[in-house]
Amino acid sequence: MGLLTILKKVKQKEHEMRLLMLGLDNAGKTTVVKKFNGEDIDLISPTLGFNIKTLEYSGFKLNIWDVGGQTSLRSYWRNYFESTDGLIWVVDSSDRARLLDCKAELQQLLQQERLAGASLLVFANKQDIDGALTAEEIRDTLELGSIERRHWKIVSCSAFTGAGLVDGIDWMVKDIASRIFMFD
Amino acid sequence: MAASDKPKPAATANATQAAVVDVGGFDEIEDDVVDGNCDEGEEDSASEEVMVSSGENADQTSQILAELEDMMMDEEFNAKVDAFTQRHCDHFDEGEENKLIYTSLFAEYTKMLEEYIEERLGATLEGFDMQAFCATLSGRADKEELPLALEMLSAYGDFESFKAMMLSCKVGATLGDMGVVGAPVHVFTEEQEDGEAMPDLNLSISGLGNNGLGNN
Repeated sequence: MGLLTILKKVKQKEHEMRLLMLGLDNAGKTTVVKKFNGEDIDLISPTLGFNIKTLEYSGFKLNIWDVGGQTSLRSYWRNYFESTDGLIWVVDSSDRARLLDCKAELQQLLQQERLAGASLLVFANKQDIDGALTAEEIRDTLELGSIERRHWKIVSCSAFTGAGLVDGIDWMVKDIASRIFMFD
Repeated sequence: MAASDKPKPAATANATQAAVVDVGGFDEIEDDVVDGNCDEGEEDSASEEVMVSSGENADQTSQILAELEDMMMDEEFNAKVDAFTQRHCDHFDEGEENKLIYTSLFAEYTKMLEEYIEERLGATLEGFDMQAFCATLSGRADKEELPLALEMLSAYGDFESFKAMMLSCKVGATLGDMGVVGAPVHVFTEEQEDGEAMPDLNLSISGLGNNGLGNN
């Protein structure tokens, strides 16, 4: 890590968190962020690059990095790992066909050294759709139970209605805060 | 073991000079000093470390800060930044979504500046050791405020500032010799406590030559 990166990190210590939002394409990553931030979600097109959203939540400044999930973009994900405090993995709970694909991508991420210190929040998104898998079913398919040495949680949500978003983010922020800002 | 045979420029230089330099300022500087050398100096005997670190290391830190301040003011550094922005600003477009190439350009930019800084400090300050300096920085206490020079320098490592600089360079480039550009930006609701909500202005002024200056 070079001088400028270190400086940036030193500055970030003051109540800032960097959250990285990943998942397969069409999982609803951008919609989750926008809905959580109270923005319009009517016209969201597939993300081909990445979005950065900075918002305040319970006294913390969250820098949320939302990177496109299409197959061709996934090899670029690693450029965004550095300094990540929390990983938010968004799952389209209605997309049964790609759930194993989803599992494989997540497993790969969890092996990344630069993400080793990050808490993991899995959003079982699109619960508003009939026939969506439950959070429990997704937890079992993704084998989250076998994760060791990492704080994780799965939360069912609907980025469309907004249900569950606050629960998830709230857990993530508290979890990171308890690890990093122990002295506050 | 092996390490003790190798010449250790920074640590050794510290040792010789600091023995001469005052040991009086011990108390006030003690904290930013101790971590500074831990990288390399761990094998030195503890007594030497303690006796030596106080005066010398603080002294070097202030030299580094002064040198960095000079650097950011001087033409060579700014010409480097300008050249980079002008060469690449065409890739940048207004809009919320960022292209993936912004990230690789930002990485390239950061690397270029870091190498320049290391080279420059290495050339002007005897025994300068970037790794040791970085270790000192990472070891700082959370609440401590950054010295001005580092505060300024940290802006160069911020992606959002980088993007803003690229965008304003691109706008500046289309204006020819001189111009002032303003663009309304997002209004933050928290700022509206009294008075009317007005868009902020992002001003960028392009220089008289063919240098489009960034607003940073």
